[in-house]
Amino acid sequence: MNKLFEKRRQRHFLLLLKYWRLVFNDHFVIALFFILGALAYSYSQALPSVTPAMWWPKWVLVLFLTLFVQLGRVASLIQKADPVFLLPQSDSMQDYFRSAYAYSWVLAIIMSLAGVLIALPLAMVIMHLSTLDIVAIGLSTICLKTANLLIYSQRMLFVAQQRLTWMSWVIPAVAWIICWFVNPLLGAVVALADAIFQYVNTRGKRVNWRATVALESDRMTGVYRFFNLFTDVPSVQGQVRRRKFADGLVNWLGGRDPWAYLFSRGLVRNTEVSGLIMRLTFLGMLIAFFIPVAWLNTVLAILMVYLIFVQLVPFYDQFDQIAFTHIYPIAQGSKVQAFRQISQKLMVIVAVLISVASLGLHLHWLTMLLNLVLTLAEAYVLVHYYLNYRIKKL
Amino acid sequence: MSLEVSDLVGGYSKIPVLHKVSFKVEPGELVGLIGLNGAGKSTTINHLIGLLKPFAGEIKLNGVNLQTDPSAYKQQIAYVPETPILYDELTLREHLQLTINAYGLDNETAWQRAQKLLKTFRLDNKLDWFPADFSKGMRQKVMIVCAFMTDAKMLFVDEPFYGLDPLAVHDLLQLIDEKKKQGVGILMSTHVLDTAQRYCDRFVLLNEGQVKVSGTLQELQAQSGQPNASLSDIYLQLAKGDQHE
Repeated sequence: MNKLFEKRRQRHFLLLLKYWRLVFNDHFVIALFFILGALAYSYSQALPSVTPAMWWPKWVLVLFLTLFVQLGRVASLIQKADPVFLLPQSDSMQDYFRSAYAYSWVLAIIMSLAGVLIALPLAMVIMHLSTLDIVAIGLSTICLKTANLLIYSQRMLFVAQQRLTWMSWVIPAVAWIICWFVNPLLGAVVALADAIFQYVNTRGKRVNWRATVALESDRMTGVYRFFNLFTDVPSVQGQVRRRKFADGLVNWLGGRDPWAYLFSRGLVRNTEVSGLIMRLTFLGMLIAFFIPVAWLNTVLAILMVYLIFVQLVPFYDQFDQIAFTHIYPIAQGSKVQAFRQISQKLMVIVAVLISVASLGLHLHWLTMLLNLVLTLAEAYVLVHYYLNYRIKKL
Repeated sequence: MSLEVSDLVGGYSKIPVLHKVSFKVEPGELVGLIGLNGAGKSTTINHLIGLLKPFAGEIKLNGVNLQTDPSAYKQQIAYVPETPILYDELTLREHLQLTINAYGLDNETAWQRAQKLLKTFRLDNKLDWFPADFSKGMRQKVMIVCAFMTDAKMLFVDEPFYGLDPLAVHDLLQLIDEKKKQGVGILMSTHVLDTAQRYCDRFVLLNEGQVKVSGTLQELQAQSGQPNASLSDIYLQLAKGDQHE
């Protein structure tokens, strides 16, 4: 059973590698690095203005670190057919799950410690930390993350009280509050107790196959969705919501033309695409709102509009698997034309929203106007020229 | 005036699956395209509706060539696929509207026809449903409604009896009969041989991508030398004969 996990882990790794290669092979990533760089730059610029007398930095630390120990889940790599084929092996599956847990644990701990590294500069500004304190903070992270992964594993087992999920939020929050407001060592003690409690609670329980399969398939959907941000992942198919309230938008975007009719409905109702565009637009608005440096603000607004457009383009292929549009008597060029028309309308909305957000708290009218002119011009270039290039690449 | 397929050679990749397939479908005629799994029925239909490009040969409908004037050709055809695939993002009502828009049909008369069809297939109260809520049989019915509401001169129906309940099969055969009376030609692929024998006017028997024989049941019986044989006897004899060679 150990070998089975090992084999699957390798195959999983190759799959991830395949997608990562595609991710790093795109303009998108350059833009993403730029945004990360801008955030890091803003962080370092903001640090000197923080003083120990302020009330909020400690709460930011609690919030940030509590969020960070939620990252990472147990990759069981269980497949849908396993309950059928491995059912006779149920009892010897413990080895399998132990390997799966160990693999995920290492990755999650590395990630959590990276979170601590990000948080430490802020912590050092507001309080004096001894080496022992820092070790205690690291230890807390490790224990809290371990406990959270155990809570996640419990969802794959027949555990009497299934409702421990809340503990993966509440206990870390309590531990971090104690850590920053009372004493890091005391926080570490709470974290350790949490890990021990969850371990005892998990030990010797039997596998709940149905739950395990559902959980793993959820997790893989999440992974695929992430990669789908950059490239086209075949298995990601969004759900559909009726969204009657958006019928006005649908009609404004589309029209009687068959392709426009399809694209407008697909874009509005497919939760995958519409959700992605909305999330990115919202993120872009937040960034535009909060970045005070004028030139950086403009650069980021332009980048966000580009990113959103790139996310929109793969939708061009959405309906190609369905024979109807090939059989209907419609002209060859009408597909590009319909897509161009709809993406132009969408990009104008996005550009206006992001530009308006760049007014910020202090009403930078000049920045806003500049952003508006530049992003609209950019949208025009993207829709009328860059689109052709992207479509050819699909 | 009819569908004329002459010397069609084609397939999915570079290897031809169909070898010089030729046959005709006259207006008002139901022709059965008969063959085992993998005989080339769906491949033939995929060529006839323009999803695949022929390597050689010609496809003409009422004098319009599919290669040279695809738009005018497609204006005259409608298609019911073997596996019903619908747009996840569109409701049943919107599927029908899309069909009307695509063929440029008159909105009012087309909707009247659609309503009648929807009633026949007991779908008239499900106009706001999404495909995800439909069973396989219901989806198949949606495909049938979409194809039969058009005023296409030629219908291609690929394995229509899969997943339909007996009542729906009966209704479909009645619809086909109505279309025939309006002078619409219909090409139907199937391996439900006894139904085919009862309803089709003529048959095209495909085996390994070649037309083995074609004609009315009497003609087929005469050719095989078995005057009282059923379609299924004749087909089995043909298919087995090929295997022994």
